[in-house]
Amino acid sequence: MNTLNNIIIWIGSGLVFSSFIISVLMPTQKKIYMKGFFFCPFIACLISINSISSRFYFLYSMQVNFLIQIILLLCDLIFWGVFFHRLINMRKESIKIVVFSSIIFLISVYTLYFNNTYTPNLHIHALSNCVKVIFCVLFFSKLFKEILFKNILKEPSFWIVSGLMFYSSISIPFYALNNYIMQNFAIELAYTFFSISNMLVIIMHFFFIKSFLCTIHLHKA
Amino acid sequence: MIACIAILLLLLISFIVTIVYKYQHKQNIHSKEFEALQAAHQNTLLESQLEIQEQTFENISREIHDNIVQKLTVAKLHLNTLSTTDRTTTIERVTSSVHIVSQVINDLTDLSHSLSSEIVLEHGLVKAIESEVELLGRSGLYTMNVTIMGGPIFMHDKAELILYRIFQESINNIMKHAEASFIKINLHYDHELTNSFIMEIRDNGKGFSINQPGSGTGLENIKKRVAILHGDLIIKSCQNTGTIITINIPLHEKESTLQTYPGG
Repeated sequence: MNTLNNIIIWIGSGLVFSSFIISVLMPTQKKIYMKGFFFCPFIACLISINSISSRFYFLYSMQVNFLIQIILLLCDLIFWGVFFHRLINMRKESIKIVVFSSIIFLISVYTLYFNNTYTPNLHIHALSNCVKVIFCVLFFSKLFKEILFKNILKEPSFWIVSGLMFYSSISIPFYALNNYIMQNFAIELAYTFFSISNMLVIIMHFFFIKSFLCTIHLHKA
Repeated sequence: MIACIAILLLLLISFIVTIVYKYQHKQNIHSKEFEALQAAHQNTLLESQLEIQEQTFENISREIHDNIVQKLTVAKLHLNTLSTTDRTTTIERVTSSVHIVSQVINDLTDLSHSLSSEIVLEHGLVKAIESEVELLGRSGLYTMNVTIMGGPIFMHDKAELILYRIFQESINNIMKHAEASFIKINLHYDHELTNSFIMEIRDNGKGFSINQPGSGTGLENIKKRVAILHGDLIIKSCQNTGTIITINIPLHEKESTLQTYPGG
């Protein structure tokens, strides 16, 4: 099971890196929210590099790995806050985004400060994913309220938000229960959970790549 | 684990399909509503145009009946009662009849000019208003003043014509009801701030209560015409101090010609 998990990590890292390369190369002139989107796969790349460095090459301890992971997670949350702020572009919704981001940011910083970082603090992941799900729900509610796009399947934001919503909503229970399962059940089950959450990340990045292809299509049109 | 991933993928696919299906369903409803609204708007516009046309015909009919027919009847009476014996009276009556016929010709020419859209379409709104103001000024009944701000441009023919008719209707109302001695017209082509055209017509007449019943058809016509242009109409009126009519419409330059405004 551990081997499968490692394979998934390597495949995921490769995909995340490809996603980063495509996002750097893609044209973003037509969609304001896509400007700086490369930052998301870039953070994902750093998270992958962090995992690989400590897990496979033992460059530094797991504690440092967890610490770096939480810092990168905070950066990721800031990125999504800015992304949804640009995407939804409504005063009322933007205020909600800022409020939710700030709350989760403060909780994360608090946990980061007081946590011993000897175990991965996956509750923070679960919490930040909850906030991302709320962002996605705000986007979908706006989408259905205002009928913004002619063809939703050619709209990059739809693919990005769908991928993010899928990953965030399904991974919440995996992250929330992971520590509990590690302590109370066989380690294989925890690895399975971890593998599934990594698979979700891979699927999410497939969606991102699809959105980049939509951007290229838009640019040509 | 594979089963778990398969279930997740199935979930994902059903999520995407549901969202797309629901969105398209909503989009269809939305486009149908939009089309219905557009049709209703077109109907309202058509109705307004017909009403305005009907009102114009009524005005022409009234003008012919109250002014031209009266004068021609007097001329006819003069000519019917010509006497072959009294040469002096006959000459007087013929002279008077000729004078009346000349007046009628002038009136008909004025009516024809005011109804014709030629001056607006050929020379533009500003020129048409200036010419109308000159004509009114010549009557000696009113002190007229026209101010033009911003660079005048040719707007769409339809817009210029409707604005001209609004101007005429307003002047007509002032002449009929206001008992004014001074009329000021401001035309403002605001290209920079609001990208709108503002026409303001103010007089120093007796004013009226906007809510007063019967203060009606002329103002209604103006309102309908402004609505056709997607503009705003503001009427301010105080008893014995006068009335200000302000029309504000989006400024769109005529695209199909390379016409430039005289002096612009």
